[in-house]
Amino acid sequence: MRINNVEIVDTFAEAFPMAATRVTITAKNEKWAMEAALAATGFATSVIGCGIEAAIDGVSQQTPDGRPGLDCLFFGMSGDALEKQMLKRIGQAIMTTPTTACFDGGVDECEADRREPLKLGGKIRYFGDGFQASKVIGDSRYWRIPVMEGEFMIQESFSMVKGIGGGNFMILAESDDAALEAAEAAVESMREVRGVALPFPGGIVRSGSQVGSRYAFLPASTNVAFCPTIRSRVPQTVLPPGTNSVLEIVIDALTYDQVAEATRVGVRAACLPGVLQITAGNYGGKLGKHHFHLRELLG
Amino acid sequence: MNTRIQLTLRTTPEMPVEAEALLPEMMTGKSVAEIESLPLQVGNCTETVGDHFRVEISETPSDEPNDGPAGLELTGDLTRFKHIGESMSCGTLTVNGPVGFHAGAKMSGGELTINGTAGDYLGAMMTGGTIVVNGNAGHFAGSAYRGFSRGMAGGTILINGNAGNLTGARMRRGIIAVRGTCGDLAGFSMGAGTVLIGGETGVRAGANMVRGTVILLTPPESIMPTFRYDYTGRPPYWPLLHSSLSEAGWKAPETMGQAVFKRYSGDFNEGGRGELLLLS
Repeated sequence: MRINNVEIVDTFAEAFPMAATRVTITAKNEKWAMEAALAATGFATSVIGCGIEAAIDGVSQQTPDGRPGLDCLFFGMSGDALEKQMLKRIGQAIMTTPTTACFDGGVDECEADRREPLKLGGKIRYFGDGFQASKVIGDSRYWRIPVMEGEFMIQESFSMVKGIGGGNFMILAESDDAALEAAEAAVESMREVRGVALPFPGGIVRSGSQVGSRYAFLPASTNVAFCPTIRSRVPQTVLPPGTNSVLEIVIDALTYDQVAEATRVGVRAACLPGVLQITAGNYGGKLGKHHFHLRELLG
Repeated sequence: MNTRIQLTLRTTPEMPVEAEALLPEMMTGKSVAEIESLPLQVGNCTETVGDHFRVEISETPSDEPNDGPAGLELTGDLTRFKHIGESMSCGTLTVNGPVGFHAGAKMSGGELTINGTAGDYLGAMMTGGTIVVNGNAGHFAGSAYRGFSRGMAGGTILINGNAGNLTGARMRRGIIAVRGTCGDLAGFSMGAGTVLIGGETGVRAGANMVRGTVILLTPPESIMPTFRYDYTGRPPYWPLLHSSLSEAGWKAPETMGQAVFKRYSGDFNEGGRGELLLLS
């Protein structure tokens, strides 16, 4: 299969279930909502090194308090791991930002029976040192925590679902400029798909990894099969002739369909001049529950 | 199909009527004859619904299946009818006319709309559901009955007219919003929840409150000395409350979504964990 003269390899991305939640951060204006969102989703590229994967989902369509807001997605290896990280990020990055409030962003794209409660506000409230109070409005309880600036409000319970992490595709190009241009185009298209997080900086991974290392102290190392500068020394190289740079895009999302859609629009957008091949990473199909076959998605 | 049951008052009883039977869930699935035979305690006599009401049932087509209770509508001067909507748990009950005491008392769900005035103890001890009064309410709206330490424990009462004394007394949870004026001792001894009053209020709002919030959009000239000033600012939860009330039909002014309030903690006779918000 070729799209715009770019070969689409007959392979699949292998992805895994991850605990996921969506959080709506509101603030006095867009500037402060963005400050909080950037801080809360920063250093969240991989669960291996960062404990969580996160990204800004998009502008909130409607916020509970009517103020400007941003939706952010967070993914963890388990519900406990997600909760642990979320408490840190809310406490250290969202609550600390002036004028913010924090609400359950909802996971409406997932069936109700897939949702579990994630008690975040109900735990952050203890920062109030006994002076916190709550209000029940509608079906939700909101905690009001006294802070120096005034009051920080956070919803008691958020919605958690089993999302998907580790969807991916790789762009093999003639040059680093061509690879980057294609990856940027892909990310721009993929960010239109709600429910999708591209957790790496700018949505792009320049240093994709392989499992294991010759060094016992490292769980992962550079993906030698895709490194062009050592091609002649790596018997297992998968680089076609002419490839001088590879970039990867990792995709997390709340649903299978969202990963699939993001992959579809991203690969199509990346088929630009200078790109030779698009492929994906997997573990032989025996580890991850979710498989995304490139040719099926793009056919 | 949507089923609507209409009861129109034909003869006004001379004695007070205990009208607990006038509930959507009591009438759903019944025929006109069965509804007419439901009991009404009139003074010390047991009479029937049919003795005082004309009963009509109508059905209108609906796109969605409706397994819930029928909508019940009462029309007439029901000032002598007490306990209308008491213990209602689901469905809709609309009253076109004034009602007596205890309307919506002990409600746990559903919607009660009164297009007229309501007597004392409106929504007393309720735990859920919504009451809307397009008129005035009497004393003790959303309060506890005598001998109970806690009253309203959930739900919403919206009064688009005035309310009497002891509105929200001893409430435990829920929201009471009064568009007009309110009598004395609003939120007396409340344990939690929110009482919001748009117009002028009488004396001692929030007296003995343990927790909860009393919001006065028309600040009084003075408040109790057992309340202490904290700060002036925008409570973050006010836009949520404002929006929630607006959606429920309480006619909140649009511009008040980001209102500024003076906050007082009190009653310090009870620990000072309650909150009095005066629109600044």
